[in-house]
Amino acid sequence: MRAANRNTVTGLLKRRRAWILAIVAACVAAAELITVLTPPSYAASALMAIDQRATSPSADLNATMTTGQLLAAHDIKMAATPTVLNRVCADAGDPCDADALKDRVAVATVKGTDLLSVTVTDASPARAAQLANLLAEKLVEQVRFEVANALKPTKAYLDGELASLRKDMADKAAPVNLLQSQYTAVYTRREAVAEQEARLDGGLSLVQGAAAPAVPAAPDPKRDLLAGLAIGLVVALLVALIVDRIDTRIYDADRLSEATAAELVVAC
Amino acid sequence: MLGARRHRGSRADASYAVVWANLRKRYPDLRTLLVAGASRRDDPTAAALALSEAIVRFDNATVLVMVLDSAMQDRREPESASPSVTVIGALSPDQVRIALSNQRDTVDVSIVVAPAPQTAVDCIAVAGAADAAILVATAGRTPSAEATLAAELLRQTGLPPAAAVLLGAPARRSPQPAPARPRPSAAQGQAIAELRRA
Repeated sequence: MRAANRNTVTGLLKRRRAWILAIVAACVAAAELITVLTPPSYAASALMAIDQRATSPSADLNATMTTGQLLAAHDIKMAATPTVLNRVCADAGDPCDADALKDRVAVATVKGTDLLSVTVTDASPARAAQLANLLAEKLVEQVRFEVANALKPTKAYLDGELASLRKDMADKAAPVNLLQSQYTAVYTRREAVAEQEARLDGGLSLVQGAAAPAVPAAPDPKRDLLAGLAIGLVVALLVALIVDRIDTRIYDADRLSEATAAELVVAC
Repeated sequence: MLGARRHRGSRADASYAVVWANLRKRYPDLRTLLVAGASRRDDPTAAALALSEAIVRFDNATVLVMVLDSAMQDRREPESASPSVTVIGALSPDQVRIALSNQRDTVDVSIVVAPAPQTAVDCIAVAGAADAAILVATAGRTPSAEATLAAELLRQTGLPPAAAVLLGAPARRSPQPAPARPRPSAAQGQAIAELRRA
């Protein structure tokens, strides 16, 4: 007699093996087709370091880490802005569109480190490396420009104060000792601002330039095959379940017994 | 593969022997058996022949297998390897009834092979002449609702199915070469000729 296996997974797999095999084969074939038809693209990455103590060297560890995360998020966002990408395209030479480039740029922190990975994909490995290096360079320039812009009013004010004090000292408009102490105080602040600017300028630096990759990042035949297989198995099982649900044909003696209510049911 | 097939064959033989033993126990006076398909997709002839051979082996009986014309799906004349089994194909219900009355003294068991009762009235027409009925379904081919309907129609005819046989999956039912047909005895040949004339 045949064992009743209508409600078991093994029974389902046996009954629907043709469906399952066909769907898995179709998905694997589709994955292979995609692999064959997809033009190769190369990914080149430049590594940049974020100085987490740039904004406040005396801060504690938690504050430093928070600052680092904020700086990383800022730099990641900045890398995809039209300002930076347009500058990259301006220097890239060959036809380069900032909008198209945006989709091929990936900037992310390297997990567990204070490093930032700037990746650009392109059909040419050399071009990918060139664009990644240009992007890293323009990102550093942009950060420096922002720092200079942020400190410009303070520097202008302090420089004006120093000039005014120098003029007063030359005209002897006040007691020399008083003017000299005021000048020293303002000068010290001006020096502090200059030091802050220098520190912030070094907040983001290039650690390792991008090199032309030897192997394409996509397509990845092994990964595509595994993905096709996994998707195929999931889809096949779902289809098998659905087909089994709507299929009312008899597959085992139990089902025949239910249908006919015969006293004796045998499978031959 | 061959071993599996052989195992499957011996298992089927045992199953048919079980069916016959069960029927003989439940119907001691069983002389005529109706073997019908459970749906239009089922061919009950192979099951009837296998059962007839089980009967011969089990009881050393003589068996007459009558296949209704409407039950012959592939229009091939069915045959049996056993000399104790006589097979007549392409009969009408009237011819079956005449044969049953004529052969009552010469055969121990008569098997009438009919299509599913919902597909042709022939099955219902000969049901009254049978002592018990067997429904034949095919795994992966017979719809459950059809089998239920066939059983219900037989029940309403007054002949509830005594047993149901589930044949193997369609893929494994590859046609086997027909065994050499035994020559019918002179008496059997005369009876068949008369039946055909009728």
